Amino acid sequence: MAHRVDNEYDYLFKIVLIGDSGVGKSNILSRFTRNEFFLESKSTIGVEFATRTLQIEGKTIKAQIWDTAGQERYRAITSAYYRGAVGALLVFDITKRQTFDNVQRWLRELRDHADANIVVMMVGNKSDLNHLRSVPEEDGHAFSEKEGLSFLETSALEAINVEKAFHTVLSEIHQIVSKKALAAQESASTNGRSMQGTTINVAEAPAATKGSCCSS
Amino acid sequence: MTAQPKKRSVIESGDGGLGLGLALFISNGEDLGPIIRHGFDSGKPEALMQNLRSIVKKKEVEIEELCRLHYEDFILAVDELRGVLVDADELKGMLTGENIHLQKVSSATLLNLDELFELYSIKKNIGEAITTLKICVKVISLCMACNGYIAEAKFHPALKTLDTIEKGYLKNIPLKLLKKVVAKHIPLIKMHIEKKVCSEFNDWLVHIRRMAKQIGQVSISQASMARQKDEEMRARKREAEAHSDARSDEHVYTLDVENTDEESTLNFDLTPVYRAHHMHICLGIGEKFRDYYYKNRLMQLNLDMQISTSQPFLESHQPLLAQVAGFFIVEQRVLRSADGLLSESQVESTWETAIAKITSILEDQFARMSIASHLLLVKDYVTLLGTTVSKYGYQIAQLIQVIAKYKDKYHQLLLIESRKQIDDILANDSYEQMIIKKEYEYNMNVTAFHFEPDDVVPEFPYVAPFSSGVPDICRIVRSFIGDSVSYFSYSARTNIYEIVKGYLDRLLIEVLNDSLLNMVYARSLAMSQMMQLAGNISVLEQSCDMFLLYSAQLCGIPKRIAQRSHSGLTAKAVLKASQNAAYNSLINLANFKIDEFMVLLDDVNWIVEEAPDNPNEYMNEVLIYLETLVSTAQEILPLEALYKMVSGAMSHISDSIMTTLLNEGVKRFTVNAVMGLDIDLKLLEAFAEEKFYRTGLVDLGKETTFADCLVEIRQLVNLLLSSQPENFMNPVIRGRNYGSLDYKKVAIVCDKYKDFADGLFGSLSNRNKQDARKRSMDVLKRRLKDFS
Repeated sequence: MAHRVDNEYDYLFKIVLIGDSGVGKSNILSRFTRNEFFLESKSTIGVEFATRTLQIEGKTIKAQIWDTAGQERYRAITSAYYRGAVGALLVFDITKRQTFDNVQRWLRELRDHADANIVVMMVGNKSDLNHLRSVPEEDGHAFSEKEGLSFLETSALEAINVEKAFHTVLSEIHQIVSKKALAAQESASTNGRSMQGTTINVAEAPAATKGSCCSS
Repeated sequence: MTAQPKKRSVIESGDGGLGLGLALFISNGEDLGPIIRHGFDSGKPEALMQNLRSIVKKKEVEIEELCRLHYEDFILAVDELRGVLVDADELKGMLTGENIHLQKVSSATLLNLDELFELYSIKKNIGEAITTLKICVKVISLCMACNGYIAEAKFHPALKTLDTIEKGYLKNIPLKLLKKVVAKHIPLIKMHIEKKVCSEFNDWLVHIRRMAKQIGQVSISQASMARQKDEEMRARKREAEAHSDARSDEHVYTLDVENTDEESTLNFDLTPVYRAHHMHICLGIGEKFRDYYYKNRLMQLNLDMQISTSQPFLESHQPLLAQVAGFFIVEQRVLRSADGLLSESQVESTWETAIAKITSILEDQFARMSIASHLLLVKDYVTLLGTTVSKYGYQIAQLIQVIAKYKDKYHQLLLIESRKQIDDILANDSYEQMIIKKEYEYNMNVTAFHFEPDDVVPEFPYVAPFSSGVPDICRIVRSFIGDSVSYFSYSARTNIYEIVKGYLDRLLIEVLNDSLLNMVYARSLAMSQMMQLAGNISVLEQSCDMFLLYSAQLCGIPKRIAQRSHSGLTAKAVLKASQNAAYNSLINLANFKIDEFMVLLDDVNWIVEEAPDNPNEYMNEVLIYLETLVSTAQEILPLEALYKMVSGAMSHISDSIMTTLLNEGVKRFTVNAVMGLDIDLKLLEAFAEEKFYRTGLVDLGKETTFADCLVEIRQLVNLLLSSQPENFMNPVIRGRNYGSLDYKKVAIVCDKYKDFADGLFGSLSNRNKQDARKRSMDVLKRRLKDFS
C-alpha cells in the first residue's frame, strides 16, 4: 500500500446516477465522494463527475461516478454518457410518487443507451423524510424484484446507506469482471495445455494475464 | 514657646513698610521669587537687597542670643544623652547574652516552628486545590448527570443541567482546559438534543400520519352510527304517525331506552409533540419548531390529498377523506392543548386549503361519474366527513355547496337509470290483469301502494285492475324518491320537499310518461293489451298522490300537513292527458279492427232480388268483435273510457256503412239490399241498447246513448224504406225524422236506388204498391236535383 500512488488502481468502473430532477442525485454523489451534503442544491447542468477509490475484496477499485441532469431538456446530451457505464444508480424520491412512477422510463432509457449487462440498483432517497413518505417501501421491493434490480433506501442528508449502495453495485460489478477474468485465464491455460512443451507459449502466459488486468 | 517670643520682638522692631512685608512673607514661609523678580524688573534691586540684608542681620542677632540662652541646657542634654548611650550599651550586652542563652535552649523548638509554618503553607495550598476540585467535581458530576439523562433520552433534565452548568459554573471553572472543553461541548450537546428531539418528533409524524386514517375512520363511523339512530327514531315516528292515522283514538307512545354509551374516540398520544415543543422552547428556538411543525404537517396533508391513480375513486375516496378528517382532528387537539404551537389562523388556513382541494377533487370526480349510486355513495361519505369535522369547529359550507351543485347531475343519472328500468318493465309486461292468489303477494303489490283501502280484506284469487308492470313501476318510483331524499339528507339546510317534488315530477313526466306514450304509439300491443295499458296509466295517475305523500313522509313532513297541501304533482295532469291519448289509441285500434270486418261490406249483393232473412256476414263479425271488446273493457276501463270507446266504435260503423253507400264501389242497390241493412242495424241497435244498460253506463247520465251514434245510417235506411220518401222535402217531417241527413249525401244515394220494376220479371201482385213508392221516389229525386 505504501508503494502505491493515487492513480494506481486495479479496476476503473464508470457508474451513472440517473433519475428525475430533484431526487438528490448530486447529494448522493457529494456524500459518497466528499462526504458533503448541500441543503440548497441547484439543478445539475448537463453532467458532472467525481471519483473515489475504495477497496473491494482486496482489489483497489476506482469508481468514476457520473451525475446526470434529471431535467428533460438535458436528455439529449446525457444519453451519450451512458456509454461505457458498467453500473447505474436509478434514484427516486420517496416523498414524490411521480419520481417512482418514472423509474420505468429511466429503465427503458438505460436499456436503450447503455450496455445490456449494466448493473442497476434502484435507490429510494430522502429516507430521513419518512413522515412525508408517499412511496411505501414494499412498493420499492416489489418493483425491484419484478425488474431484477437491487434496491435500497438512502438518506444523503443523514449519510444512511449511501456507502452501502455504491459498495453493493461495485462489488457486483467486480464479481462479474472477476468471472470474466477467470474465464480468460482458463482459456489461456487451455491453450497452454494443448500446446504443451513449447517454450515460447509458456513465456506468453504471464503476459496475457497482466494484459487482462491492464485492459480491465 | 520659644518661637512666640521671637515673633513679638520682630513686630516690635518697627522697620519700614517694605521690610515689614518681607518679614511677614518670610515668617509665613511664602515664596519670595515673584517679589525678587519684580524688584529686578522694575530696575530698583538695591532697595530690596538692602532690606534683605537688614533682615539677615536681625536674624543673625536673634540666633546668637538664642544660642547664648540655651547653651547650658544643650550641654546638659548632651550629657544626659551620653548617659543613656552607656546604659543602652550595657543593656545590649545583657540582651546578647540572654539571646545566646535562649538560642541554645530553644533551637529544637524553632525547628518545630519552621515545620509548622511549612505545614500551614501546605494546608493552604491543599485547601485551594480542594476548592478548585470541588468546583470541577461539581461541574463534572453535572456533566455526568447530563450524559446520563441524554443516554436515557431525558432531554428536559439534561437541558436544565446544561443550563445550570452554563449559567452557574462555566465562568468559575478554574481549570482553563476544562472550561474550554465544557464551553465547546455545550452547544454541541444542545444540537444533539435538538436532533434527537426532532428525530423523535419525526417518528411521531410518521406514526400520526398512519393513525390519522384510523382516527378519521372511527370518528366518521361514530357520526354514521349517530345518523343511524336518527333514522331509526324517524322511522318509528313515521310508524306511530301512520298508526295513529288509522285509529285516531289510540295514541302510541314508546319509551325506548337504548344503551347510549358512545365508543370512546381513539386517545392518540400527543406527548412527543408537547415534548418537542417544550424542548425547543427551552433551547430558545421555539419559533423554529413551530415553523417546522406547520410546514411539515402541511406537506403531509398535501401528500395525503393526492388522488390515487392506481385505484378507482370509488374505492380510494373513503381512505382519502378519513385521512383528511383524522388530520384535522389531530390539528384541533394540538391547537387546543399544545400551548401556542399552532395558531387559530394557521389551522383555519390549512383547512381552507384542504377543503378547496377536496371540493376540486369532488367536482372533477363527480363530473366523471356515470352511475347515480356511486355519486350517492361518495356524497354520503362527504356529508359524514362534514358532520365529523364540523363538530371540531371546521366550516363545511363548501362541501355542502359542491353537493348542491351536482344534484342535477345526480338526478339526471337517476332519471337515466329509471328510464332504463321502466322501459324494461314496459317491454316485458304481458299487459294482462294480475291475478293474486296469496296474501303476501297482495301485500307486496296492492297494500304496499294503497291501491285498495287498507281496511279492505280481499278474497283470493284477487284480480287486479292493473298488470304486473304497475307495482314494479311504483317500486322504481318509490326507489327514486328514496334516492332523491338520500342525496339531500344531511347536506341541505333548506326544505328539501319542494326540490324532491320537482325531481319526482320530472321522473313521472319525462321518464314514465314518455315511456308510456312510446308504448301507446308503438302499435305493438293488441287491443286487450292496449286496454290494460290504458288501465295501468289510470292507476299510475291515481298513484301520484301516494307518491307525493311518500315524498313528504321521507322529507319529514307530517301526513296531515302534506294532505292539506293543495299543490300536487304536475305529473298527475300529464298522466291524465296520456290516459286520454291511450283511450284515443284504443278507439283508433278498435276502429282499425272494425275496418277489417267492414271490408266485408264489399261482398254484399247490393242488387239482391229477394229480401234477406239473415244479417250480412260483416255484421256478424262486427258484433262478435264488439261483444269481446266490451266485455274486456268493462273489466279494465273506467266507465267514462268505456263509453267513449263504444261510442266511437258505433259512430265508426255508422260512418263506414254510409261511406260505402256513397262510394263508387256501389253503382246501384235495390230495396231488398236496404232491407238487409235494416236487419243489420236492428241487431246493432239491440246490442247497443243492451250494453248501455247492462254496463251501468246509463248511470253516467249521458244524453247520447250508443244507439244515438247510429242515427245517421238509421235515418237513411228509414228514408229508403219509406212508402213516401218525398216527405224528406217537407221541412217539418224532415226535421222530425231525417234531421241527421245531408242533402248531398241523400241525393247521391237516391240516384243509386233502383226498384224491381226496372227488372224484367216483376211480381204482378206488388205492382200497385211499388208504383206508388216509385213515383214518390222519382219526385224526391227530381226535387233534390233541382235543389242542388
